[in-house]
Amino acid sequence: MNVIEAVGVGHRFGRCWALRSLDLAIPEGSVVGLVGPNGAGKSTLLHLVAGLIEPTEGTISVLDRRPGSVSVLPDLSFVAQDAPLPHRTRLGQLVSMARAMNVRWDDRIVHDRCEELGLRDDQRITALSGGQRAQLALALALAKRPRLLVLDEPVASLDPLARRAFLQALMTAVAERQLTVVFSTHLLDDLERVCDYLVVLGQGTLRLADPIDDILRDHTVLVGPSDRPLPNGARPVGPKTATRQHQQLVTLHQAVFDPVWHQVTPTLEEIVMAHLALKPDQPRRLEVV
Amino acid sequence: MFAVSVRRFRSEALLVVAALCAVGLLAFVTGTRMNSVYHDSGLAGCLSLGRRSDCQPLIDGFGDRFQSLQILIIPLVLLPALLGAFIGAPLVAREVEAGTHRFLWTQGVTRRRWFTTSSAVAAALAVIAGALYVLIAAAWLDTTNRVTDERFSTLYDFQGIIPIAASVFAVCVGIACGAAFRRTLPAMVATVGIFIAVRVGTAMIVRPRLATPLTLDVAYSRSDPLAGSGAWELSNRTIDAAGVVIGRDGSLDLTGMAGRCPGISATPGDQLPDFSVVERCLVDLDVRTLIRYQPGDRFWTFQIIESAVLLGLALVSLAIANTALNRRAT
Repeated sequence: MNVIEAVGVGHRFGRCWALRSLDLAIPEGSVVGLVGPNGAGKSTLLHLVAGLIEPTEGTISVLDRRPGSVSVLPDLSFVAQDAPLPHRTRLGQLVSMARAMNVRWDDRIVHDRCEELGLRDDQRITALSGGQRAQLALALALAKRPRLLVLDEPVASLDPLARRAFLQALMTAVAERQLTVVFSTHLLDDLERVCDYLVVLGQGTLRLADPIDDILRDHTVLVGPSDRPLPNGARPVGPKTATRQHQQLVTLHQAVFDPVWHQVTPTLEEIVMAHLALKPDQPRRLEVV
Repeated sequence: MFAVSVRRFRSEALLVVAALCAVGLLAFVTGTRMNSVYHDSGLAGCLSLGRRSDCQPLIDGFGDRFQSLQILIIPLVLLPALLGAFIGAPLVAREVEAGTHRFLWTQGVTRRRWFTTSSAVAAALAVIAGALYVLIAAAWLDTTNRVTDERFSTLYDFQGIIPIAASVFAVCVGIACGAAFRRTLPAMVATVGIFIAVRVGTAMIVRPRLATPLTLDVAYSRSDPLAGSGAWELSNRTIDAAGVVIGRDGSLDLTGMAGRCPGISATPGDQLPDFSVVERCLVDLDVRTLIRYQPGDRFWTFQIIESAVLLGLALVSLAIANTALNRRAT
């Protein structure tokens, strides 16, 4: 079953399209990394999923229901960028507030996390550090016992130590319960460690959306003489990366036997960058084998 | 959800209620004092005789004594606008500005439910504040109404059920402005502006036309024929037989009569004629006073109609806010 299904989805702010003709299907149980440069439409997509905004065109469904509707809200937890929490409260008040606003609520999750983090009920929300606030927001999000957890750049403002701790907590939660996670990030090196599915957005259009294993399997860098055409079945992605000899990232679904071509395994970052470098009017999707 | 909304307004509610209780205590003390002066000075007895003009010195004395209290009515006048600006306007705008709407609207309750409950709690707070307002005003105005006879005119807005309706209206306008602008400060300014515009507009344009005014046509006399009746005078003209206006609001313009009666000189700047001369002239010229007014027994009808209009506008504001809330949110 697909947790998120988008068909031809676009969203416009005033005259500016933040997202256009997006088709996306996220299978249940994935941990999805959403990447793309600033202004690529990452937050717009996540806000559409959370039901904070409605698509200008196309349709989107979350757990087979309309985002933001009363039937889907209890199954979805959303942590917005910078983890905004009602700030004129103390931690204890905030927790009881969240408890009152949710039908399903697991106090133990919040309680245990706060204890691990050394947070007390009488602490002011404004006095929390960025890392603590992010961790608290995650704990509140998990206490809803959601089927889908959506996080908008949860680690962007955290230092490396806090980032590691946050991702650790996230991965523990994913391992403990049946949970689909979608989170956006700028930090590509987190992706391989945490995610099993990758969505790349660039300038409001979808560039790539596939399981990470498939992406790594199907991409390769071919190095060979510059006067030779690429072998059969190899389709270039992005520009050549060296000029003196032919060095080109390609999608490749079959083995290359011609000995003039060397194959180098690309990093995920290289693949993402190559797909982002494609012109937005010729987005290319991987054909799944 | 209800408990969440109540807690959200806890500090504002405490502030409003505490401030109103403080003013209320003052009003109770001074109001009691007013009432005892009203009776002890003989003003009550004099007015009960029915000849209001005979009591003028006592009325003036009472006025001088308690004039300084007028300054205390100012915070009361501002109360609905303040409620609108500080409780209504931030309801949506503050959350959007802080980004916390993304937290609130993605919990287990829908945005609509959050909005309905919060708005209802804010409106209930306005009702409570408005009711306290009415109680406080009553402490002063019970006596003042009788002394000044301005219950239906200048003191109309401070009593009855209007303050409650106006408070609810102001809060709902604030909510709408906050939802439309999504910025607290502009929403606060707009709230106060719209509130004042609507209130002044109603008082000046709508209220006098809520019912067809009655007209009183009497021979001119120096004392106000409607004094003590609780009526609201819309206009008061003194005209001669030809219909020429020769005075307004009970005062006479002698130049209009000049040269038409013996004893009233045509040249301005001369000594004022004796009043008996003027009186004879008024009879000769058949001078009459025309008063357009709303009789005192329409007070409650007016209060109810105007309150209903304000509450209707409050509902319209909430509908606008709800539309604005669902149309765009990021």
